[in-house]
Amino acid sequence: MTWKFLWQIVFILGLSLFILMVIKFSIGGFREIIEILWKEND
Amino acid sequence: MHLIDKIIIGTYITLIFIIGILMRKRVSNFSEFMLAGQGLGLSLGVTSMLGTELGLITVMNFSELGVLQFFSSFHIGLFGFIVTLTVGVSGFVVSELREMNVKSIPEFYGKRFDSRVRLIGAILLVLGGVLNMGIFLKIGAQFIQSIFNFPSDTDTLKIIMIILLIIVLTYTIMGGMLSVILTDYFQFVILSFGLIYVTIYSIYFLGWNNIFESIEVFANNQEKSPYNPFITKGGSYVVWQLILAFVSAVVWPTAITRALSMKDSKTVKKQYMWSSISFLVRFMIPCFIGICALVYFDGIIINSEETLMPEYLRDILPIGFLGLVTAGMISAFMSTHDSYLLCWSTIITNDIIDPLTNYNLTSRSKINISRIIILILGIYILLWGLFYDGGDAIWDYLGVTGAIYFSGAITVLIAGIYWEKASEIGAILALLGGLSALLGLEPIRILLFPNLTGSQIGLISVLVTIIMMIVGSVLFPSKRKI
Repeated sequence: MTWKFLWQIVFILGLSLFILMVIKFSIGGFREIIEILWKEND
Repeated sequence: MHLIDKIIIGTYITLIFIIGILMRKRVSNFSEFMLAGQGLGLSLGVTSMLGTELGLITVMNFSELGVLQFFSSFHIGLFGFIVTLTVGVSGFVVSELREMNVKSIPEFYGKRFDSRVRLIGAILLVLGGVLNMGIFLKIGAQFIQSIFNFPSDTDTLKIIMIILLIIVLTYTIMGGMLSVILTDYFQFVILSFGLIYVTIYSIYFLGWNNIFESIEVFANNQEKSPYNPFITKGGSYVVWQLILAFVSAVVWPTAITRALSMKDSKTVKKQYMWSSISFLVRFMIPCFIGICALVYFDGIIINSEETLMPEYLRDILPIGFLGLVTAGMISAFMSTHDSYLLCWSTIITNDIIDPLTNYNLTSRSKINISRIIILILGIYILLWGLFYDGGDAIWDYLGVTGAIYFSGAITVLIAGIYWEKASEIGAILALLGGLSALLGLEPIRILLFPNLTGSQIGLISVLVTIIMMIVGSVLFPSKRKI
């Protein structure tokens, strides 16, 4: 395996995982914020 | 910049400002102010980790590395990923710290060793950390000046710095960690979207194969390797990056504060596993954007390597998207500043002032003292921004000041947790041994060790702290029972 191939794989996998992570935690983070604000109202 | 872009940026900054201020009501005690009551869930823990650790200084610095070292700079991101994932899977250091229920690394020193270690550790941490962040404000303001195409005079730069600082200081002083965490969330969403969009758009705009082929030509012209970091920078540099990856994930106080804010140690491990992706992209994507900027300008550096990335973004991004991406970059700036200001101020209060006053401070006074310190730190970084002239020696100086803290902290943390015989004297000697990193300062290094690089001196400095810890602990064993 060459260095070039390694960086291409790392880049593509990293970017794909990052996109998944952003979707998952954007939704999850929003839910947790609502919970925090809800607690404040209680 | 088009009016639509300016409206997007203005709306975003106003939104962040309002959210931050609204959180003021939620701060009832010092733990809430410092660590959001140590009750954070996984999602906000992960979003806050990326928000803090991916600062505008990181984006600017690593886009510059992409320009200088090409794809070989990706090894820094890969190390960040592997180290953080390993820490997440094993819980190495972070789980133990969370289970001890401490609020900071110096507080751990106090519990594991004694109050002297806590005080010395806190002073070195604050010294290294505060000096380290001095440069951030000016670099952030330079980015904004460049991307908005504002006049490049120093008066404009000063005005930008003051406006940015007032916004960050206001919501950090008022809301503490909770406002930092919530604003970090919105900054995470905007910043991530911006980075993903720029990356995909750059590939579409420049062409995947063209990017690699052009870089191979540029590297060949400069007689450098575009891919192999061992050839580009040498073995000691690569090993030093591995240590820095561990430092930035585990030892650097702003990162560990995120772990200590989580609700339990199980969530901390999950937070680190997910954050390993953040630690990969925080280095890799800015490097890639820097590489794309170099390809776009055909290998020609217009003003400096540093400003090539904002100049590229200003040129290629369509109306609306430039506003979003710029808002993302301003997010990166704000989320790092607020976390750093809160982290250092609460550590000064919790680990220096409180022990010196025999722990007599009430929770309310600790919050107020921290707020005053945030203000003082704000003035300090503004002065730094006004007087810093941007020389390379100062970059070097800042890197070394960071090492003053972390060279000793790595050893004391790991030995304190995993080596029963680690003693108070060993810990103090190891912390003070971290001062050997000062030898890495360029004028001193050239005078005393002209054949050694900064990375080699960094490695030697870590080795010195390990030896100090072992020798100190063996010769002066602890009388306390763990």
